[in-house]
Amino acid sequence: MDRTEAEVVDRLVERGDHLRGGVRGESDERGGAEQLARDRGRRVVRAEVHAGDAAFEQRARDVDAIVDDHQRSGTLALDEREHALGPFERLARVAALVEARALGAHLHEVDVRQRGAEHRERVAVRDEAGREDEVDAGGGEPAAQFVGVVHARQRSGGAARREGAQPALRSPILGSVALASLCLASLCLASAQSPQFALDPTALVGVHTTCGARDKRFILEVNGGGLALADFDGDGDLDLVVVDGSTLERAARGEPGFPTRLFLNDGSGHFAAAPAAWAIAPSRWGMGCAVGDVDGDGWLDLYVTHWGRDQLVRNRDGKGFEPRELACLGDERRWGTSAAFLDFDRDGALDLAVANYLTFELGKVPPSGGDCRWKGHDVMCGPQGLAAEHDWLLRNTGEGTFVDATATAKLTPASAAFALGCVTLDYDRDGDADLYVANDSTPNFLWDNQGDGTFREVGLQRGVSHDMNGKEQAGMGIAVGDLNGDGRADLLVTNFSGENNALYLSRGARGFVERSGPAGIGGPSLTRLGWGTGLHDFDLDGRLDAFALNGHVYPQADEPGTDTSYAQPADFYRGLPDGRFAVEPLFEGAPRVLRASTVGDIDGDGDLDLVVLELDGPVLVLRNRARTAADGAGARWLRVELRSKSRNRFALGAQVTAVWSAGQRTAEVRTSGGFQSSVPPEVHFGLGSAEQLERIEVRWPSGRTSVLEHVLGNRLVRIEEPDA
Amino acid sequence: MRRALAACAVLALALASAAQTSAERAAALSFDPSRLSRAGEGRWREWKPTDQLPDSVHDALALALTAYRESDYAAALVHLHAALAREPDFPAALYQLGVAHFRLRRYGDAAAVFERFLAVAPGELGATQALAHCYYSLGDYARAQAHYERVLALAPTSAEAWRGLGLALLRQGDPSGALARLERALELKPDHADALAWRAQALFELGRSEQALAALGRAIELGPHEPRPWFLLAQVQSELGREDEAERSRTRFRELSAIEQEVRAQEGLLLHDPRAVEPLARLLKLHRAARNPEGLGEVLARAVRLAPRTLELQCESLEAADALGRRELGAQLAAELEQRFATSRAAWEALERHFAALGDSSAAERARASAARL
Repeated sequence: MDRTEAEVVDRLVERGDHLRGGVRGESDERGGAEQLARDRGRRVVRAEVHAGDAAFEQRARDVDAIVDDHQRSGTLALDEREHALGPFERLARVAALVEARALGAHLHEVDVRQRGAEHRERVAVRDEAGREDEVDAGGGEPAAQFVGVVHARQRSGGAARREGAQPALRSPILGSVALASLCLASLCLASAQSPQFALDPTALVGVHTTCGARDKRFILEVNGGGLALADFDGDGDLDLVVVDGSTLERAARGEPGFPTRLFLNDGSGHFAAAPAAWAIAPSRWGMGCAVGDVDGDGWLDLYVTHWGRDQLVRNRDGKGFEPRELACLGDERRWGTSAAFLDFDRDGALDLAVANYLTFELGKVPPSGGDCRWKGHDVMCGPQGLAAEHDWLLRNTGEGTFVDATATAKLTPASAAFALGCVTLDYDRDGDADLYVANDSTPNFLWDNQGDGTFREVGLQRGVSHDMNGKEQAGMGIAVGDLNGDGRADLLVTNFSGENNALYLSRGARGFVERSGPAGIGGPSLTRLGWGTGLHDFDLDGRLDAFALNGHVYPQADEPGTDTSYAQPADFYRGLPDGRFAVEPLFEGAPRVLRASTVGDIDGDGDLDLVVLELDGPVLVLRNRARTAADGAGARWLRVELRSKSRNRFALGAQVTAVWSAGQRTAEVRTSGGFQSSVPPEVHFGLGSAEQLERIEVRWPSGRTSVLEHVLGNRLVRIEEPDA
Repeated sequence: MRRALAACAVLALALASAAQTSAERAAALSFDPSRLSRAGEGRWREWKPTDQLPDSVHDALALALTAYRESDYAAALVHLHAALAREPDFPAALYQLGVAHFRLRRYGDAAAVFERFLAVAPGELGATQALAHCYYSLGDYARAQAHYERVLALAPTSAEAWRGLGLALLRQGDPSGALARLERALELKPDHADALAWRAQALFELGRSEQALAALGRAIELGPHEPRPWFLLAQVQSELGREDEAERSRTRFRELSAIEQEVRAQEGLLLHDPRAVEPLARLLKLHRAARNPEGLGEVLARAVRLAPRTLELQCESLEAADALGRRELGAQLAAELEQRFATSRAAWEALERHFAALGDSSAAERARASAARL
């Protein structure tokens, strides 16, 4: 944007509040051009203008007056083509242009063509190399509609903003079109939306993880490490655990990998390395983690999965970690991924489920370049062809030590599967803890707690083992949430490229039905390979949103013909009133190879932030803009912490139902979720504009209930379990 | 004389194809089709599919088609790239290039090629429908829908386009719209098993479980080896409270699903190594287990074209021919088996089964005795 354009926009903004409206920000419709742009990691904004809007006529006249004014003063020149433009087209163009400005980005290219009763929408999209695709964006309603699509590159600095105007305006026609479109800038400010999250480079500085070499010759090198958010030191804010991996060379030499590290929060969402008392001795090759109070002392302990023997470290009253020796933690070949604390036998002590992937032995698994091929390219081998490991169920003896209960609890399917994600939930609301396991390349498991200390696998029976086509998928991460307020858990599972992320909606006692397509996330996720995920009300509008971190396992995904890529954009699924999701970029910036994620309000502002792990790269803090973007009136919230009477002090498994004027939602207290990650033991509700809740109902793991009435929003509420 | 010359020509083409180096094939697979040279604007605008092939591309196109018929899609790419280097944007070569990419499951490349084909030879229905399939496979259901609608505007009796449109709508959360389109497809082609199964899906989503059940019954009758109808059937039966029946359907689904998963894996291997013997033998066994005569026939035809065959492939081919009731082919395969693998116990055991199935007890006895001696 050059100086003249900036002046025009500024002037329109000054004059512009009365011009707002008439442009609808996010359309429900999703066109091909938008998807193409998103696939290339670019931001897209849509603006729809409908003919026959009386208010629009006045706005258009206002705009024309401003344009005339600028033409007279010589700050704006329209060529013949622009004079021919209709006001609707200008609006659409402006939406795109102003969005680019709001992003602080260069406008790369915008072109819009009419779509109406007889014309289908055609949108020209050019990439930075000047390559053009003209795509049909579908649709075809009789009203004249125009869609603006912007390709925006992130600005590298202040100077670049001025310099960057030239590429955007290098075409004389398009340049002048852009100028013409400025005339309705203020109309579109209302529709311009930045991504929900913003990368905060100051929150966690210089923390990287390693997972083998970058060429990824072995499957061991592709999953990355794990993350956890929890208040370990008891100061009221969320601290961060980063599980790190190793290298093949270190493993071959018998050396330990890189240690799991704790970073303490200063209360503002900035993390610093914890003192030596919190150090955890390095083990073989760290993968994921789970958080829970295993000894009922009120302090959260940490379990770390490994390729090799897992680790349990006890929290010494908020002063540091100490290792706990456990006898049943497998051998050096077993590869653990995710883990989940749960009280499956309802004895009050937290037990542990561990998702195991496969048996990996150095020297026995062939490297890439052998017989293992994907889409015609040589790639690393596995998991097919390697030996899957059975998952574990470890029963807490009550003293914070564990015994292997996998067989006695019948958590043994006919064939072991390649487990990557696991989460606890009470899917049937019968009061006991069930377990859902996402398996790579094999059907997912739903372990139904029989209430007698045993489980039964009912994934196929309950509709959560396969996709809608009856095809098994390669499950990675799992998100759980009550999407429609029916009090029952719905599931979102991230999957391999070529497979859609699966959204399983609860149908009560009948189980689930997979509805990713109708929800709007099936198609867009087909070219992604998803990992970390979560279902929460991130924008605090009272509806659940979701996210999916993406990135392929094969660097060869960048080769031709794969229909995907190694680095991929991360997706934000914004919940819409009709139950569908709008797919948006999670945060600005180039695509990355992302893996684990964890969710929590790290800065205490009431919205939920993210910490994400880039494979062989930095751990990134993504701050939620919900509370900073809104004035607060439409983005209210409530966090609920529970403290039980049992040794399960943080009440994992409790169900919390919030009821407010616009609806109700149930959430379960759990620390499991996502991929190789752990979240804080609390629940969070977005309330939209509701200032208070009518009531909060708690169903404790003990079976007791609590009800709080007229609870004010925008606060953290801690509820103690009542006496029997 | 003419037939002999034609046979020589085919042989020459096959030899040329076989002489292709793996480096050439790898290069063809690594080539981004958007980098192909472009013809001058309007160069092929007047081209008709009935036009004679230009001399410059004749041989390359013939080689490509030979490779394509042999399911050697990488080889087809090599020849098509050569044709397009000589005659940029030649529509027939572009079209075949799109098809080859589609068969290789490279939907993005296939879409790019079909888009380009339609730019130089607009309005061609086959490419428009293929493009719709590509976008559907890429999860871009809105664009798939637009292209299916284009096809139907010009060819309203295309059952395949109605089916595709129905699926695209179903994926976008419009089961009512999907149902209407799938029913139109079935009016045009009543025995379209896949359309029947998707119609059942739409009915199920609309809460019309009894009708879904009826549609599934017919779909399963037409394609009993397909796992997906059994998967949906179990859901519908469960919805209707017929849990025992649902469990039986799940059991059948599990069996067929396991087979289908391995079929997909073996087919994936063949895509990039079309002369691999082991996947062919395995596929014959899998299709036989699934009682899938179409799949079995296709793979058998491919196996018969392959020479020399290994013992395992020869035995599996014989079993497949017997399962399909192809007596003449069975006799030929049995004779070859006896001739080439006379010292193999497994060969004689296969022959014993073959003769027993034919009711030739003396030949079966002779084969059993031969097997016993080894």
